[in-house]
Amino acid sequence: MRSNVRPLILGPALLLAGCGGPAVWYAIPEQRPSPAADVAPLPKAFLQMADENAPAQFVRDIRTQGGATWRWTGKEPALRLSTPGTHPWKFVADLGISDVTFQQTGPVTIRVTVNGRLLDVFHFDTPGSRHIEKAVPAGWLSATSDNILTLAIDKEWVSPDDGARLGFTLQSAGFIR
Amino acid sequence: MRQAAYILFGAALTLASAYGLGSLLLWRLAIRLYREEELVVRFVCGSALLSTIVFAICAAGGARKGVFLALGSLVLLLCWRTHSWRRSGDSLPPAPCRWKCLFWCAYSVFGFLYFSNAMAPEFSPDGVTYHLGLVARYLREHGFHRIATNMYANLSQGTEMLFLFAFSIGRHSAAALVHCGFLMTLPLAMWSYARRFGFPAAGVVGAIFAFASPIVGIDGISAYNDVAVACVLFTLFLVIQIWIAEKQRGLLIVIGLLAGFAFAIKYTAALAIVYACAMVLWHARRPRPALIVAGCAALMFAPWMVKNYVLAGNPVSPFLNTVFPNPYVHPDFERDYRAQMRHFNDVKDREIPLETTIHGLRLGGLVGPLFLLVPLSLLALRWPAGRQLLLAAAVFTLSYAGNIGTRFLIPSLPFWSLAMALAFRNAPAAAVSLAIAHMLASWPSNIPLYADASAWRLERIPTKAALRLVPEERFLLSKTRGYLTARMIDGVVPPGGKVFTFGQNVAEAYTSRDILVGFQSAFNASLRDALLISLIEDYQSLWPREFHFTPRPLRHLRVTQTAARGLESWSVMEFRILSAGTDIPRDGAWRVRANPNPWDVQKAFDNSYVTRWSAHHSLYPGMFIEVDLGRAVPMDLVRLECSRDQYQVRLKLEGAGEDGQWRALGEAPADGPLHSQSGLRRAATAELKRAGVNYIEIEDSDFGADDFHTNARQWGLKLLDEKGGARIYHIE
Repeated sequence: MRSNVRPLILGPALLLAGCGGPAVWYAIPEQRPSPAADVAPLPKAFLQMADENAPAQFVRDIRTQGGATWRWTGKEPALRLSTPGTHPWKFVADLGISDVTFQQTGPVTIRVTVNGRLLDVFHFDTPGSRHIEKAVPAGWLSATSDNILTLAIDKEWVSPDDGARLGFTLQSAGFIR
Repeated sequence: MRQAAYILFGAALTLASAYGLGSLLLWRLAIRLYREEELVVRFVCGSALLSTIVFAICAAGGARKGVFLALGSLVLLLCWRTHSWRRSGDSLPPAPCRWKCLFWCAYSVFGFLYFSNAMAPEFSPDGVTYHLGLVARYLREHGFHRIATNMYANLSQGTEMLFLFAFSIGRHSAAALVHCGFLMTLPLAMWSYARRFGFPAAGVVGAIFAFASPIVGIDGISAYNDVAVACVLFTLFLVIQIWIAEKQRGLLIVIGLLAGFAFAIKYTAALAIVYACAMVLWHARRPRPALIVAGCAALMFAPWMVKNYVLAGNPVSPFLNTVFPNPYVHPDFERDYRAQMRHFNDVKDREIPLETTIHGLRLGGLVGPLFLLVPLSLLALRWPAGRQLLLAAAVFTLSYAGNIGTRFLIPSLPFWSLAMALAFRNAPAAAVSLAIAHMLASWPSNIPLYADASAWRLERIPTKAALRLVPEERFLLSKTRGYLTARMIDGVVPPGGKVFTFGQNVAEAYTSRDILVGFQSAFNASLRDALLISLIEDYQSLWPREFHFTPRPLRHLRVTQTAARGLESWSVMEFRILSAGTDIPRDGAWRVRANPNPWDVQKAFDNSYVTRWSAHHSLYPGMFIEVDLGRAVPMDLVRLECSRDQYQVRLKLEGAGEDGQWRALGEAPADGPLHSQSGLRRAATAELKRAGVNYIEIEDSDFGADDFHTNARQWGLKLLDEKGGARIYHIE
């Protein structure tokens, strides 16, 4: 790193010596020990609600307790997602409108926004499970910082007993390639 | 005030030494010039000589304040003894009084603006990172050493050699004042040319056009080199025109030195050598004068190429890395870097005119709205001088295509300016109106009226800061966050400590610690890769490729990439060889090699999932990794642990036994089992530590900043300091 440059005078001779040549052989380097486990998981681009680490990427309005594969949301559930690389990404989500909540709210719409920009509006005229997806325009997602995905429902179900508010059930959501 | 005196002395001694050397050269060559031309040619030519002498001092390991003081004293003494400093030529034909008044008014008003800004503490983005960061390092280390962590150390640094002379005495502002010396010389050169060739009024207007341009001002008062290039190129042009008119033989040497010095300041000015040789060849009609020019030019630029060849394995590093492969700068980085410079901030070609003349934000400064009138300069084709100016303007604009930042227009700007002024030769009132309008539009307080408020430009006359009546520290803290980070680093990192950063965020010129910026060299990039692998799934070893074949003893194995094209880079995290489902342990008999990028091949054999061998080159058939096990060993499987960010790669496996006969093994690789990706964070920081880097600086805006902060324990990091959106961690 700190070799002096007094042999600069040899430069012209070296210039004439040519460049490149066959690849040289190297010895096997020091072997690294197997690493200990990290505790914190990496942020993901796509979240399954069944994933035990998923709550680390919840921003708001997602109940940390739910069924085995789904969670209740509030009015504006939001997720923090990481989308490395420059590949085209597609928004996908599996969600459900409960029979019970539908009886009170009637047809609902869910507005999907990515980093504050409206991606699409999905209408639900009947209760049940739905798979929704939409290609994300280039430039909407950041490869170098977290992205916020929001699924906002227009009408919440309000419990007649205790006033608790629920939106819809979410099984998975995020971005895939 | 004492500090101000040192600054002025450092700059004055440097400029005087340059002028003195130029005086000695012109005296020795018995060159006859007009008095006004002598001033310009002596300074610029002497700068070339002084720069080369300082280079030699650095190469010899003698860069010390005392050496530069002695050198300056010696030059001044020689000038005094030989009387060469006296200007002996006649004056140029006098210019009309009103034009003289206009010139000197503009020169003094903008000159004061520039001088006070140059003398204020230096805080320009590139000035305080690499231009002066490297200068400070050369002074600390008393010369050149191999710097494998900063590609900017491999650029030609002709002005940095002058900065080093001044910096050794007056520090940062003295260096900036040296660049300001070129800024103040440029309009004098332009006016001298115009007066000699009979259009002094247009010369005044043209000089004002260039001198008052906002980008010329901000660049010229900073420790940059673009205005120095412009000044050298225009002086070269002036001397060539004088030689064409008078054919003084000694001028050929001056022409060669100036052309070579332009290249020695900045690679993009290499065309100066072609231009000078072509002009001389064309007008001499024989090759010898052009050969003299080329030879003298080589004296100026060859030392830089030799230095680069010796220290970086590439005479024109950091470019042409496919022609001169080396372990310091990767070809794929160069490709991406060039593309980025060609499409700076995603500015489209059609947006360039307005960005460079009016908006000024996305291309880093503005030349001023006046230059929207550049097409009118074609009217100057009517006059021989106009044709010469436009030819030079066209030649020196060519390199702009390689980097569309506004400051890359500066070298050609004086030629366009003078050609535009010449176009208005017969309409003096319009020319004066334009000059005054341009000055008003370029005055710092008026620029925000039409340009983007954040455009790179001068803001005010900082008299108190220049005289250090405002403490330097307070001024710098208010101007640049990089200075605060540098102070933090000096506070918590011991001398000799190395600090990794993702971006060019630290004012390196204000810290003596070694800053390793992620993109600035192959070495730094490998550290950045280790950290990013821990954060980005696509970079992780989640794509195992397995070659299954009939069990057999083999000594040699070679995996070859066969895809014909693709911009992605083939990489391998681990190259494992198995027999009956068990890893064959690597031992000292093994030898490995790869092509391209042979230097990193060990990273595919180090049992680490945060290091990888990468071709760092666009795909081509024949890239390979090869293993020689030293003896034939029974095996049935080769597993390459790869990341998924390489969709176009196609691989084949070949093997040979003791007989050395190569045979294809197995079919196309299949998916293998995934292994755990746990522990990557700690493994990544361990790699940095193994490389001698014990500190990391993370900005809030850096990718993964939250993860470093939240999971500091998993990274093995301890937070040392946190200010202004920057955190310094120690790797435990």
